[in-house]
Amino acid sequence: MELDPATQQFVDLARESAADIGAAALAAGSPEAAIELAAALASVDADPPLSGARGGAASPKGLTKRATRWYLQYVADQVSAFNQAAVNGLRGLSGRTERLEHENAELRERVAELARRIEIIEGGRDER
Amino acid sequence: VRIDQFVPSMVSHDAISNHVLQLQSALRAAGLESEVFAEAADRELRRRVHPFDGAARSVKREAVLYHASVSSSIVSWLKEIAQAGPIAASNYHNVTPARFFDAWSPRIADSLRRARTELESMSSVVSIGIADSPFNEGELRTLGYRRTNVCPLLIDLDAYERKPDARTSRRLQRARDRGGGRWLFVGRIAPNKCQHDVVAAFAVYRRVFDPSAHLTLLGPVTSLSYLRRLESLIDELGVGASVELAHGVPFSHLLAYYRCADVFVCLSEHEGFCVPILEAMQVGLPVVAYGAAAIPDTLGRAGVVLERKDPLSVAVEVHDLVADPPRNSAVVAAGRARASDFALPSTSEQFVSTLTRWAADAD
Repeated sequence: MELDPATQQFVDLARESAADIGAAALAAGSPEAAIELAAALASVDADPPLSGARGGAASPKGLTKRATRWYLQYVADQVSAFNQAAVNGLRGLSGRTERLEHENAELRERVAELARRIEIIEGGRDER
Repeated sequence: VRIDQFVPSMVSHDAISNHVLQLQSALRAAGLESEVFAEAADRELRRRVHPFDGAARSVKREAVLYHASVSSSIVSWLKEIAQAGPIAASNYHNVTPARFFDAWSPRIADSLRRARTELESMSSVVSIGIADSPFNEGELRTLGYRRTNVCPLLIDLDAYERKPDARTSRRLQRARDRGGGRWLFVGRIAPNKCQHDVVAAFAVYRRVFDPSAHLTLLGPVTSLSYLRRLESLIDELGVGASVELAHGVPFSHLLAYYRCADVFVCLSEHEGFCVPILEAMQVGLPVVAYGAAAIPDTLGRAGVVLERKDPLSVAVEVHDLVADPPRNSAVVAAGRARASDFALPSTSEQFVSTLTRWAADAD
């Protein structure tokens, strides 16, 4: 099917966004997936998912929700702020861990190279 | 013979709970005694259900039918009493694979893993495994169940002919009159149901074919984290104003949603039976569904079965169906005919005769 570039771009976005969610199950267990899930859940919603379909008289759940909103929103805002700070911290630690792993790998390579050189030098001494 | 039913929980308007009560009525109509025992029951059903407590555990029983779908302490009790005499059967309604929940709700994933282990351990305890669908029967066989049978869920399809809630009908009809195709999916908000794929396909459909289209996703929330991600996808694709998420809809409102929709789109990746597909066919709503798990069993040849669910190809399939009235009518007629295969009198008779044959063989 022929699509104009803007529509094709939108189709690609829809495809990729849905695929990201579908891939979450495959990535489960990896630290990156855990941090991304934590990031997605960091913002606490004070609105419980009640029916959006009922018209007419307000339900008891709806009334309770409205009556307690001032309090729950206050708590939710603080929890969200804490969660976001924790996620930022986790991302920072994750980035630092990644750098350390990279440096560690480089150091291992260097040590291996030095060990090889020492072997050559010592081997040379033995030969003499 | 007295055949008592044991079920982890009984919840009003839940498909398995309705099935248990319909089966009780059918067994009683056939002259058999049957009581229902549950670990938990909501207020509406407490009068019809006995608690699964110490007293229920200690009574000597002739035959026991266990409804398997989630992890339950009933299983260990069944294993204990099976050695003492009563015959036991399992009615398998499917356990969702835990992998779907690992990333979203690890606790639910753990519970599902336990449920599957319990199901496997029951294979040596029960003398028959009765599955809702051929797909479920296949799972039982894989888990080591030697004697199996397929009996569909008992659903009172006549209930779908009742009058829908007037206020909801008016509201939806007004929206419908404003134009635009109306997509519907009914099912728990859970990762295996893949509402995110429905949202993506719907967004593409709006962009390519019908800018006034509307989508309703109905169903209770099983995974809150998945719901949040779904909501962010809806925002990301800019379809927030045309997607309605409704989670606590009474039956009469559900009927209004079915009656005011144009197409039922299901892109679920795991279903043990999929009652909403049957509901859609019964009310005359054409079904477009991804052919995973038990969906082809339930749908038969009465809907559009998709082999892939790329958003654009789903949008094209839906458009090709709704834009072709003769084909649409043929799919609706085939759906109604398929739904009649699950009419309560015949499914009840099939289930009761399976149970009575099983009880007679065990004697």
